[in-house]
Amino acid sequence: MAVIETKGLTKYFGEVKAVDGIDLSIQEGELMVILGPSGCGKTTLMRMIAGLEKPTGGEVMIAGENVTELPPRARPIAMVFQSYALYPHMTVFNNIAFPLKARGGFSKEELKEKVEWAASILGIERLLARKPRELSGGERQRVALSRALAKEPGVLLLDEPLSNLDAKLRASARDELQRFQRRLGITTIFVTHDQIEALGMGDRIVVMSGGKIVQVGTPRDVYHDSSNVFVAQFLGSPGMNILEMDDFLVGFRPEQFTLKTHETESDGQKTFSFSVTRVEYLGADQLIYGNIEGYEREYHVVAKFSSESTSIVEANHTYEFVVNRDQLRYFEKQAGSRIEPRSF
Amino acid sequence: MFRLKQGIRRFFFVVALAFFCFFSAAPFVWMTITVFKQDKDLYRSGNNPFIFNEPPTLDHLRLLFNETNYTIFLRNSLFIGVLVVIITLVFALPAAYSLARLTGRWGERAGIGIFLVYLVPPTLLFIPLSRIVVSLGLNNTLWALVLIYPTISIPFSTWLLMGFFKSIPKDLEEAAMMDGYSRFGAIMRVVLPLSLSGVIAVIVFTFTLTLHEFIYALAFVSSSAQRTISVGVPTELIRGDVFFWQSLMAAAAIVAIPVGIIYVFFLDRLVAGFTMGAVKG
Amino acid sequence: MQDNAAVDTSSRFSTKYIADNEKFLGWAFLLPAVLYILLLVGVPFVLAIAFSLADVTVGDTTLNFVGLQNFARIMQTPEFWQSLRNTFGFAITAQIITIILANILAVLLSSDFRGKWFALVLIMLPWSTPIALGAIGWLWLLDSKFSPIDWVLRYFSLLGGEGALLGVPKNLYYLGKAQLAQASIIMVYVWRMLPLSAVILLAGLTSIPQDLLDQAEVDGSSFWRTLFQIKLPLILPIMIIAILFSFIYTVGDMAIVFILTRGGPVYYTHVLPTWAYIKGIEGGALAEGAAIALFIFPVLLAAAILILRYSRRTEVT
Repeated sequence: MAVIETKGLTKYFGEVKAVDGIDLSIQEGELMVILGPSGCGKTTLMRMIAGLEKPTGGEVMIAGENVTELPPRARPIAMVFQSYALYPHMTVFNNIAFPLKARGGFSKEELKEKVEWAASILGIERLLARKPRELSGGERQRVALSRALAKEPGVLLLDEPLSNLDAKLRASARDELQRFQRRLGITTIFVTHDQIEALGMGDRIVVMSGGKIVQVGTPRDVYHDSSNVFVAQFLGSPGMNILEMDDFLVGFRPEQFTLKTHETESDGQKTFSFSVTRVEYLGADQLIYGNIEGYEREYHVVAKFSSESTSIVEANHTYEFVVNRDQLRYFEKQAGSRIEPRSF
Repeated sequence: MFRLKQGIRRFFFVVALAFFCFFSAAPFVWMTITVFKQDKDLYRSGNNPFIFNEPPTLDHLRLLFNETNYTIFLRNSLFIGVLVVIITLVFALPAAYSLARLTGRWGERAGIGIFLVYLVPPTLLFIPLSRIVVSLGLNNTLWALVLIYPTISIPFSTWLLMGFFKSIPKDLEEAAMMDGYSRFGAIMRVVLPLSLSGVIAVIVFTFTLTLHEFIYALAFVSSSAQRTISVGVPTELIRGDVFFWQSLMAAAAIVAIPVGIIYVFFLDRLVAGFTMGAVKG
Repeated sequence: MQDNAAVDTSSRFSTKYIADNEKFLGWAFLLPAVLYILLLVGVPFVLAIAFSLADVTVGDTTLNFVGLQNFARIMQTPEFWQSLRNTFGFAITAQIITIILANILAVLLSSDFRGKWFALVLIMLPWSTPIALGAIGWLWLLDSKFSPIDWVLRYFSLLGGEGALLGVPKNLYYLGKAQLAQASIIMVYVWRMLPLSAVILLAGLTSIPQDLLDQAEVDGSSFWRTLFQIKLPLILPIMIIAILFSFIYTVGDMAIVFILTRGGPVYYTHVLPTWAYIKGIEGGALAEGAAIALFIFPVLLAAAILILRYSRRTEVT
């Protein structure tokens, strides 16, 4: 059953359409990632689900109930803010107890028990007496999560919760967050602009652009079967190489663009003449920048090799590169949507 | 050579600073010396005025507290100050929050309007206000000042608090709303506790403002028993041409010096109020 | 701040959640303060204009409009013209002196030294203490007979006695001679406004990014070059705000003149507010008093508009 459903959800800020008719449904226990570049409306969408922003049009349903008109406190949700929004004047204990006090009706002992339970899930029992300013970034995140869990919400909203952590910490925080979500089985919406987080954590990903949903699907779906040239280029690092033909676009992923090794070109491969301009060594990987020649215009493309690869390429040389034909993706030139394979 | 230059610079620095300190403090130093002088010391123009040619005395302080209305003035000023602080907070806190967070384009205009009001000096309005006070039946009472002083303190305080509220991250309030409070509850439990130092600054400024104000107190209140420090001291302790200089100086110094010291703790806030928060002091 | 009010969706919130309704709270919070100000600043202001065009007195407060008669009448008196000259003469002269001294003082205070806190307390005293009480201190410092300044001048034989530089009489009578009284009043204005201007400028100086000053030092800029070519130009908008505020306070103040000279000798030190008080409150000619006071309004308005303009500019940087 869908826990969260939005119907035609729309938000204008003055003349600007921030969110433009979003229909979305999120299943029980699912971790749904909303992915998109900054300004695509993803945070506004989440804030409307939270009740912090009033929609210009459309509806939000949570657990079958229309909550569009209800303020945040009347919705069964919790949210972790990008800044974590820990109350600086309260101890960690009081921060976690805050939503429980709002609901009221707990005795002192019950309150203590609940706070300790929420703290134990994240393993922060020893921090309860501290003030937020005495915590590290990772500890703050855990406190924010504990506070969100304390009121046992039906839905957990996470607004870029990892972006305040440094790069090293982010990988372990990702892992911790996902395991924690699986363990509790709590329906979660996770907003991010970081595709690695999205691909690595989401059960499903919603890709947004210009206030609209571009594609919804599993990480594998959106990466390999991008429905749109925007999605294809937004996902992956670097994104998909796109060649502009006369009346369509064709694309392939940098890691699928490989040096031709067999003399015989099978039908299953498309060969390109690739003039290498620069080789960038990145440790585990290397990126090969260059131009595809032999067409009316020159295409700048990138290939991605493992550094362990036996293929050796050098700048200022031209090589034969191939892509398997079933890995080529074809898109409409104007709208950018996926089309049937063409020949070129 | 370099050290010599530094020495010269240091010398000028100290001299210049001493000059400014002396210039600013001179009347207060002179007041303090005067308070303890005997008449026969003070009123002999040949005497060195900066030293005690006769033994110091407390007679004039005694006179001030026992035989003048000074204690009544103190009590009046305190009474007005406390009430005006309360009224100011009741009106300015919500207004400042509203301007900082809630209202849109109209709110911005109202904010500029309030700022302009705080530039209107009392000297422009005291004549019509004196009639309004009479028609409300408040002439010659402290209540006239209790009613009118907030017109000066509310705009200034609103402006000051607005900057304060703007500096509190919106996230914190929204987090409180997610945690189950209404917008109003979030303000009471998160915003207000976090703006405590702003509230204290407003209390200090409003209180000193009521002490400072001269023209309304002069124009609206004429009976001695209802006068404030600012007006009572210069009008009551000078009778015709008879000056009770030592008592007069005591009356001024007793209020001026403590207020001056407390004020310095809130300098940053004061500056923020005057520069619309453009400069962080 | 996001402009949430631009799209009207508020009416759909029920009264049950009224404490959540942004629009309702916004107006409910703002309205009391706005009404208070409108009733007790807006109404008197309109009344001030109405009075100035009518023939109201303390004895007869019915409004009979007489056009510009009041203005014509006050303009026939030399007291008015003297007050007008003094108001702006005092304010402008005081501002020029204040801003020069305030710049020097701000530069002094921008360095760290022992006892800075104490120095700040002393320097702030003129602003932080009630002006009426400070003015009494000056009244006694400038006393016609017992002024300690005169005593010092006499001590150094600059005053009193044959061949003294400042004259034979034993006292200068600071507040008793027109020009000396005017100069004394200007000095007290400077004394009063200097602290405020200095701390505003000080805040401006300390808000200059350290990067910029480091860069200037790396570029080999001397202390004076950095001061005149980097610091002062950068704080210019703030300096203008300081000048304007100080100007508004000076123009609107009456306590200093009222306590020091009550406009005397004769009427040579009257400013518009004191003259308006003498006429309107003490003399009971409300209409004329209101008309006199109104003369400061256009200048205040101009200053206020300039302040708004320059405040915007400082916010950009």
